Amino acid sequence: MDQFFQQLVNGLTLGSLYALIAVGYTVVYGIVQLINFAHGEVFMIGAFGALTTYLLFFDGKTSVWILPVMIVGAMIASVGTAVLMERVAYRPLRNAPRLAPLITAIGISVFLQEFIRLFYERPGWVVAVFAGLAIALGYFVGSTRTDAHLNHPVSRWYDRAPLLGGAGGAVALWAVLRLSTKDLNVGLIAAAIVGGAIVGTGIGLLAGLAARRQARVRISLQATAASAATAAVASEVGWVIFKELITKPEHNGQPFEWPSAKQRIPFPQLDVVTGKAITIGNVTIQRSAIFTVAALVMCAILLWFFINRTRLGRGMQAVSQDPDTARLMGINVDRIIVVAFALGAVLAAIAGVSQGLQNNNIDFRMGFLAGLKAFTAAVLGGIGNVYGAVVGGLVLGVVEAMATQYIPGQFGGSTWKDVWAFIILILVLVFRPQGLLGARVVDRA
Amino acid sequence: MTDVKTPPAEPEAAAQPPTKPIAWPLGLAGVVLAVVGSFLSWSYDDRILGDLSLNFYPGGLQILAIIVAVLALILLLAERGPLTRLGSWLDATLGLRVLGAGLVLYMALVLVAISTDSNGLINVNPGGYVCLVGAVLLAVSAWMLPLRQLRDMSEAKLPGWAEILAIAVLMAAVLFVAAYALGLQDAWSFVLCLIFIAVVAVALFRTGTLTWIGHVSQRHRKVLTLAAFVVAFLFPFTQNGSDANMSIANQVLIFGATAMGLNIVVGLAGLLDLGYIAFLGAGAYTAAVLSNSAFATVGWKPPFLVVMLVGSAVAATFGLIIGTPTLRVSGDYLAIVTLGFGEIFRFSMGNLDGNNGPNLTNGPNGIPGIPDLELFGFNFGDEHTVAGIDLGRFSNYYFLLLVLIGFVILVFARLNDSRIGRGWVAIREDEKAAEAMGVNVFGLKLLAFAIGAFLAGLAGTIKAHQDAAVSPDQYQFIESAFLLAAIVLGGMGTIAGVLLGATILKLLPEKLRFFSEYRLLMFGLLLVLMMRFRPEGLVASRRRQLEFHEEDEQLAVAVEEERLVVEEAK
Repeated sequence: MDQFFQQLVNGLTLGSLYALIAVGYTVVYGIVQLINFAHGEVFMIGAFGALTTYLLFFDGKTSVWILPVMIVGAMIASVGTAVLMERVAYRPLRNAPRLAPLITAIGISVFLQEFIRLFYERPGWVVAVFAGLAIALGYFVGSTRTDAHLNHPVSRWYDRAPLLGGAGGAVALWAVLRLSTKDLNVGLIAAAIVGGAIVGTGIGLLAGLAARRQARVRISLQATAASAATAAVASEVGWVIFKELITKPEHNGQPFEWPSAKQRIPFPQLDVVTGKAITIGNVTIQRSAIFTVAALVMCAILLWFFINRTRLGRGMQAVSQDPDTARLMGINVDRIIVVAFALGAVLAAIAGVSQGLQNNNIDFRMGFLAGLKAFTAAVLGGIGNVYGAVVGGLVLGVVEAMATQYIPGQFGGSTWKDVWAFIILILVLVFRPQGLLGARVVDRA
Repeated sequence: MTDVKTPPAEPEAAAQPPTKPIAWPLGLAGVVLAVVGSFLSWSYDDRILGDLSLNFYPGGLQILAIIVAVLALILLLAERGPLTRLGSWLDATLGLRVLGAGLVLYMALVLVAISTDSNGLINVNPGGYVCLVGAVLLAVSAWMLPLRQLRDMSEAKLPGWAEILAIAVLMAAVLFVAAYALGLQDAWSFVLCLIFIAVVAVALFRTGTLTWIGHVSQRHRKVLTLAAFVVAFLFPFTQNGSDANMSIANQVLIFGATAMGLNIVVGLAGLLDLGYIAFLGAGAYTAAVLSNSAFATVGWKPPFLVVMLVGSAVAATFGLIIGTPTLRVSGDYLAIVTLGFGEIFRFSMGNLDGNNGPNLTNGPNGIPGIPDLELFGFNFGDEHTVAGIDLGRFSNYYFLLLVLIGFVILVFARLNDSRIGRGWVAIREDEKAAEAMGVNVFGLKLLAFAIGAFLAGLAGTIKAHQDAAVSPDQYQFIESAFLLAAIVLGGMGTIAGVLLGATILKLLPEKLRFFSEYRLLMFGLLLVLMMRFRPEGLVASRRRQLEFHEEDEQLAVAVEEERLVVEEAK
């Protein structure tokens, strides 16, 4: 009997992890009928986000109060990834044949894995990201200062040329300056900001002149200047962050080096949530397991509250029932879709942290199998049904654990547990495609 | 909203700017400079890029530049001069723009290559700069030349023998360029050669020559197929016993044959299979287990022809087993189920090592030491000399694989043209409508799955002997993704496209070793970009193109017209 309870605990722990990830699949599927294959990678990036936060701010410390900050860092990383991939890759394909987004998802998944593997130890790319963010911010501030309607469907890139030119010019000057001298001193920072604002405004004006024949709108000098100035300030702030924080000159007297993601990276161990296991009778419970299950319970409650008691959550329900009608009722469907991706990413980030705490290490490959299992869990519970994902995750985890323990003979060991999980997936799809809770009937024909 | 204004209607004159008299002579000067520059020395260092340091003795890359310049000269003469009759068919200006811009890019990269390979731009000799100036002149003149009205390419007919000759010349050029490009050892030369190929191909496309070749090959389909196979057959004879390239070629062929099998499932029937590599693995493992390897676990050692049948039958059985229950679910679900199946296959092959299950596959170590094939007393490990040219082990397999891929293409083409193929296309485009029209949806889907698995299994049996080993990690998910990518990249449902995609995806990583670290990163990015900007693939079947661009009325008309042309040709 002890064995049974031990496996039950193991299964529930594993299942909580699956459930946290599975919610991401099911929320997105419920709203856009898209299997976001790259969701496993969002989970992986969450774990790396937490690790990065730890290394940046708390390296070497073990206090439990670090954990919330790490979770926030994980959420920023994974929500950023998820929202960006929705905007860049999925949104343009929203009306494409269904094969297209699926293949895109595979592409994103491979890309994100490789990106972490190759570039985690070389954070120089962060500078390029900051530059891109600076341009985006400059454009955004500029566009609020102009009364031209830039998001109108007929507007093209050349309508935006002055703003983009302004922001781009400022960032270009900053890039030239920072490629020649990398030091931080007040004079240089001021030069980069003032020079960027002036040069950017000039380039923006030139771009506006070049595009004036096609452009449908006129953008004022003031807006262009605002765009350039914002971009100049933002890029310089990005540089300061990069120099001061990310390439820390030294750490505990030694030059700081980022760990390489090509092998497993040890995950920080914190005071209360990791350490000596708790034993009840003959059943051992890891502290991280308690954290995972508690996180799932809390997330499930918050999720229930969010979906049923907030405006956005009700909007999500409406869109999942009928997107066109929801749009007619004044719901911003695009925003709801972004929220769905972000919601999934938040839970995936928490799952990433729990996975790190449980396994003591993380690696760039961990998203693939976990994502696949979580998808199995989502299908098991009934895809499109949020509570189904939670139930499905727990059931899958318990079944996997029990299979390791109770399937007799050579096919029982832990090496076969993944096989059993996939066999369950196939069996569910064949015999009960609507899943255990079955809100949404799978398109069978 | 007040400042949204509609652009004023452009006067007719603005659309066709007046001809600048200087443009044509400028282009001619550019061509002359480029040719002269190519005969001069480009680089001070004679050890890089295959010796470009001699005056009046152009090296390989210089000859490529000369070829581009000569093509540009022909187009210039078609614009104004003795070849103006050609000019009424070919869009010379667009072609010149491509050639000009391409040559500038090519020369700029040559200079970059010289300065990175030997320290700095100081090692560039005047010839390189002369050539670059010529290229720039050509590009500038091409942008000044006017665009013209052209005659409809489908009316361009030559005597039959001339058209067949054109096909032969094209195929010979393909063979020659392939042999040349594969012979290049250093990465820069290879990249430059690729750019040359791309520039010429785009120029052919923009002038309309490719359209004409398309029409010609519609009229002489059999000749084209035959010529393609002759070229493929002749390829080992250009390698002179070198195993390196033949091994790559074999990988390309196996990959291409497997991708072609998957093309039936994905391209024709529209069933997304993400575990297809498992069928290749099933064939390979069957062949390995039944081989004479010391690690083979089954006592029965049948001749290879039987092994081929058994292997493909095993794969097809797997296809049926996985297909029967899962083909009832559609689209995305099928993808996930097949993905799950692929993982089950890999885990099982890794687990069946005697500890965790019956010993069948020797576990994670796989089965090494698979002996070479022996077919009708002919051992594939032996070297042969034909007409003074050595043909090694890989060449022997190459010929066998050529037969295999020929068979696969034959199956694909015949199925595509048959009642079954039309049923598949109907299912792909609208399953419910197809069912209502009396198409046996489930049976045809299952058939697609089984045939695809059968062909993959067939390829797998040969692959096991060619590689001399099988192991579970050869059959990971990423390989399935690569197969799918080959199809997506080339063009779903087409033969040429899938072969092109397979070649690109297998050849480039092999030749660009310095790039291999970033291979997967680029691969992921490529998939995303392809889906965003050209979801129908490089060589798109027009029908497929229409599926992705439903609102494109012009394309719909073009597809309809093309159908009429094809019917006329029949």
